[in-house]
Amino acid sequence: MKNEKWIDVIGGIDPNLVESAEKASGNDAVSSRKTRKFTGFKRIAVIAVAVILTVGGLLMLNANVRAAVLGLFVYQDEAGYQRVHFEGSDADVDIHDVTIGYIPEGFAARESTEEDWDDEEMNPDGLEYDSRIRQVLLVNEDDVGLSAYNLLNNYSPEIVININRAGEIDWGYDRDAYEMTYESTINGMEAFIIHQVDGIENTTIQFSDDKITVNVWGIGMTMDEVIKVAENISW
Amino acid sequence: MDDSRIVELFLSRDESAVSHTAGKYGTKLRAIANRILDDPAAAEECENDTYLAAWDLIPPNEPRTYLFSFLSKITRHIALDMIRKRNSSKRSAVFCELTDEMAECLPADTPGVEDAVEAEALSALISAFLKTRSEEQQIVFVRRYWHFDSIDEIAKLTGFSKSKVKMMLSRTRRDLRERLRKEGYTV
Repeated sequence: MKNEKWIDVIGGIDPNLVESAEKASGNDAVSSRKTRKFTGFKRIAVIAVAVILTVGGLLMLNANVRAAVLGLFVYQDEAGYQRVHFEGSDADVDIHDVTIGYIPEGFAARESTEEDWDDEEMNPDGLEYDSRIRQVLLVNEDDVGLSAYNLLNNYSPEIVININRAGEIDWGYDRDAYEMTYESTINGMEAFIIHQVDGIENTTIQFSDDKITVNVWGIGMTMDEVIKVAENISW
Repeated sequence: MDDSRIVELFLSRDESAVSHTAGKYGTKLRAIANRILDDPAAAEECENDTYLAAWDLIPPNEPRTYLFSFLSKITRHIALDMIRKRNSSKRSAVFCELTDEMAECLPADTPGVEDAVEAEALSALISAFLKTRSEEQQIVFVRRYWHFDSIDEIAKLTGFSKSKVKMMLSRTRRDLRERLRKEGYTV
């Protein structure tokens, strides 16, 4: 039987910590930041794009896609996590977490179609089709999509790079931060990968064929290690 | 009624202390017990036993500023004792889940109440560690492992997304593990 004595040890922590947590209330929410989760379809598509673009010669995408990585800078987000952000040409900042991966055997990349948006499994949130959003899916020979979660967890990529590209987008939602989180293993370490896209006001989401932005974030890695990974991304 | 006044009632042996305590904290104490026991009737018994224990413990204790943590600690002990005494293998799913999570960051030979000195030392270390975290991280951790709140409940309480709550807990457990290793614990 597992050791249940943790309950005694946690029970003995400083009572002031307990009282503070007890007094935390929903009216004074600890975080006032709005987040909206990407789920289902968009999550699948975004991660899929990233994986494909990092693996040279495995693209079924527009050949004009080019990455123009001019530099990188480090910043700290609201939660205090440091991130490295690559900026593509003079593109507005487009923040993504970076994952480096590979396409598993038996899967190939294809661009999403309007029919995919009508597919409940691909788009469980029932998001409206938007032709300006170009996304790529990883599908097997039966055209069954591979979810990002399965990709990250079952295929254990070394590091997963997520790169997104599309035309200029007005999501039609409030200009809030979008967030999605995956669990994965990065270099043997437990990791969460958060994809965050700032609101259009601060970070206009500009996508075009020749603009790609990449954000590298490694949990448990030093900033030097993160930068080294980012610098070694091959295009 | 504020905690200090309730404690005064205990100290002056005024039996209304129990009804005031029940009115203010009864639901929460029962909820904590039920999350351990997964048995509402047993949880209610736990709650009542808590008031009896509080009556015996106040005085000499005077938890004027930490009455809830004082009471809930009693409740947790009572609930766990119930499981042990009944030799019950039934654990609530929540309790099992939390035990698995805690196994990631606490020593396999974590001391219990019978090793009071060692348990107290470890508790103090964990407290010191939590105080190095942000207030948000403290709240999320304590709500999860003291209050037995679910991820959903913590997300609603804090305004964070569920995924962020999970991430914060994972990071805190990871960092706690590293801290304990540095202190010589085998985790």
